[in-house]
Amino acid sequence: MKKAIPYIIIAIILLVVGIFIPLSTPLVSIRAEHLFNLGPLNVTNSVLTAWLVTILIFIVTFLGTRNMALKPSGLQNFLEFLVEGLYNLTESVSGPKWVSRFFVVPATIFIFVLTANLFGLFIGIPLAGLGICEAHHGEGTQVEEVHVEEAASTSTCAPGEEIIPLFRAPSADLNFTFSLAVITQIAAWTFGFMALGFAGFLGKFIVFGGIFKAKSFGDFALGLIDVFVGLLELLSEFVKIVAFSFRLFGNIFAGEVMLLVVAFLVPLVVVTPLIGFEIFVAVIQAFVFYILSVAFYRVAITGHDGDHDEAH
Amino acid sequence: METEAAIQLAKFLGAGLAMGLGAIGPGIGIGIATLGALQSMARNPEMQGQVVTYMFIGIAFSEALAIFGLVVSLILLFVV
Repeated sequence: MKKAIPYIIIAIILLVVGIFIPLSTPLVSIRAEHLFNLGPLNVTNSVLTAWLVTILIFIVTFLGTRNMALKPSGLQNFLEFLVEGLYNLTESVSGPKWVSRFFVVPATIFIFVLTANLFGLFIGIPLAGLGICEAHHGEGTQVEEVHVEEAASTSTCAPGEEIIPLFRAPSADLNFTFSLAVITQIAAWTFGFMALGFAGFLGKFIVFGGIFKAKSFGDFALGLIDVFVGLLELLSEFVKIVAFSFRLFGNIFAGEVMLLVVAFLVPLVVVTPLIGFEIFVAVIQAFVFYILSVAFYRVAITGHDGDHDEAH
Repeated sequence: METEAAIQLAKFLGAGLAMGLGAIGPGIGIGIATLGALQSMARNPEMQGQVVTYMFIGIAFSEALAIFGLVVSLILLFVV
């Protein structure tokens, strides 16, 4: 209890001071904000953050694997823990035959998305007034203009301009999550074709055999149900793309918006536990993307009768 | 009320209701799925890997409905 007293005092001071600091509301937009143009490439703040994440992952991996020791320690130990943990988890889902193929794409997506989600928590940068000022461009409705008139603010921009945050989690950009979802589903279909063959995989969705082999009305009804279930599963393969992308996008974007709005409404120190919650959400969402990809791969390679050919 | 303001009102109301009411069912569904998974893991700990896999698949299907609600809400706010 005694060791916590300085922190409690600091927290109380921040609480009181935070009531009087006016903060400008950064622009909240679903579209990632445009920063600059690199030739024909439209570089938004989420693209910039994605580049930073890539460089960071590369640096960390490079430093960790420079002097590979047989008994790992430090950074190499952590990287091996990460990779081995993911590999064992994949193996428990997929069985030893397919694990090396299932593991590659989802594990890469997991590591990238985990780091990328955490980059969206730098809300202090736009709130402190650092960033690029841009004239407010309307985006369909007046949702973004719902902010109270502030008499004074730490914004360094001219009135009518909003601060564009420099860092935005790439997973809060729907383009990024949609691409990841498309890649994951194409991989799932590829594994399905590899395991079952062209006719076998499509035969899971277009099932007319039940109708033709029917010997009684009950069999015929079941065959008809099979047809509709097959078509529903075909539709659901494409719906999974939407679900993957919107699950990740919704969680991370909503987290960002909540942090910004709460930072505007209440004294700053109250945002701290919310940032902790957002860290938790970041890890969970990356993990859910990963485990769902692997689980759907597993479903894709099983035949229409659900045969379990892998021993666990 | 003029048409423009009425449309704005309906948009915001619809967006809020779509997400709010659309999350009730999936919330309960995910709770039930996790309940089943935890009970079966307590009964039979060595089946844990498979149980967790199927639990996640069940949660994904249930959560998809909440995500459809989110998509409708976003469409109402930003596209209509």
